[in-house]
Amino acid sequence: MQIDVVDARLSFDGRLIFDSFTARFPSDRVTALVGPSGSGKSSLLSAMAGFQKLDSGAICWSTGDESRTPPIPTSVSWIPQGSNAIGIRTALDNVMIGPLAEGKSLEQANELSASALADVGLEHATYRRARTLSGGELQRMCFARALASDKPFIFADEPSSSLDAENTERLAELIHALRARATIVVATHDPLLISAAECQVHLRSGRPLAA
Amino acid sequence: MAPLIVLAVVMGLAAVAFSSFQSASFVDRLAEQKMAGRNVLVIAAADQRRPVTIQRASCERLSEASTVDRSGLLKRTTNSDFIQLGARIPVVEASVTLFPQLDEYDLLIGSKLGSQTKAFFVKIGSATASAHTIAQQPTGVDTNSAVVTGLRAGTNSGSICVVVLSDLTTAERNRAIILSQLSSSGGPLSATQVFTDTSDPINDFKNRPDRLLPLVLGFLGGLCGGILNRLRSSEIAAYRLSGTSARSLFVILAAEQSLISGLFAASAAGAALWLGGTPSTVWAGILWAVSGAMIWVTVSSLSTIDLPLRQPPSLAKDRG
Repeated sequence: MQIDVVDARLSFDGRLIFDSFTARFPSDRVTALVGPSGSGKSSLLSAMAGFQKLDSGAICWSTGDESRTPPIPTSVSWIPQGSNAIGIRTALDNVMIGPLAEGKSLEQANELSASALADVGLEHATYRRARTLSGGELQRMCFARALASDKPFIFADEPSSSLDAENTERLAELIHALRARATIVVATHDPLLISAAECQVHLRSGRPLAA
Repeated sequence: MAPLIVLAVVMGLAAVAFSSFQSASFVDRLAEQKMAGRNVLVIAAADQRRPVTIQRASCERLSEASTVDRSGLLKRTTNSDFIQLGARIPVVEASVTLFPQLDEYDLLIGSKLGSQTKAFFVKIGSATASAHTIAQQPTGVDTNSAVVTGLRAGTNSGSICVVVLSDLTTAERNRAIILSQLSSSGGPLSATQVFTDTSDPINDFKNRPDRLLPLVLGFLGGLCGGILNRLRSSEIAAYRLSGTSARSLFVILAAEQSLISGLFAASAAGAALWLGGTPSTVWAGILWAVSGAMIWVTVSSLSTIDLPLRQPPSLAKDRG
């Protein structure tokens, strides 16, 4: 599914964050939402996921045909900046929350989660407690949770903000490998992640550019 | 979560231990006052210049009331010599309804005269009489240094009627009713309470503010649970970002606190059963603990009701 943002305007606490922003995020591709800190990337991402309302303008999701829907939060896997995990539980348990929340059985969730952890290169950490994982491993675990949920959208908000260069590179490789699995939007100003994307949308210009 | 679990167990134990201590102190205080004559009414002539005659049947009939333990006439007679007990021992005649053991034994020996635990025989002249030492009597039933025997045949009245009330009532509540039920002739009657306290220990115990301790502890435990949940906002965000609905998350958090408050109730119940006491005090302890646990769950749920409702991205930015 692709995302269309049309003439969007958003302000917060009396401060205009962005105005007259129009962009398209292509279906089943990795798009980097680019902009400096404070430009409103997180806010736009939140609006695109349906968590926040625009002051004016519209956001809609559509498939190749004419059907359009407003954003539905439950159809988005959100990967936050920090490592939000249940530290006392294993990596597998943390990933299983996704498919379990979708109504999958315990057995199905277990299978999907183990497979997703393997996809992101964390097979070795399946039964380790989340609090023993490094920052980079935790971010990959979040991606695994998103993959196991099998939702049409994956939004990542500054996923490399707390990572070093080596882990950022690994994350960039992972994001690149996930193309075609879902419509992925990564809000970032990190050059490594930008280069891993297939498309870029600059918050200032609002025009999609090919990578 | 482990500290909260420990807190729940400790709070449960503390609630019951404190309650048990209070109950024991209350029982001790009641026993002490009972011996001092708190529950004893001595009914006799209000004016010594105007003697009274109290009908035996009406005095003995008082023992059938639910608030009366025992009652009956008490008549002091002459002193007598008893070989086993000594010379010039006071002898008191009393109703069987006042000393039910008179049904079984000819003589009852006051606690200060003997310490035998088994029945024995006492020689009176050439005759022998069965006897048993009775427990210490409260002030007002002055027979601890005397020998008690049953009223002689044909005794239909007396000048003193002694009423021993049950533990959980007071003389003030019963005085007027008891006097109205006695048949007497001669002068006016007075019912004297041998011992009066400045306050009613039963009322004090029933209305003591610290009986609410289990509820207070439940409230504090719930607050602690709520605070802990707020410190876990990052974990809670993980649930929401994974697609867990706000309602499901609320249920998860409430279930967690229900289990922990259940530990509070369980440890209190276990302590109540182990410490023992009367069935009513054990059940009272358990019920108070269950109430405290319910308050725990309610307070913890209400204090974190907003967390599941917050937008997940903003929840994720909180650092717990």
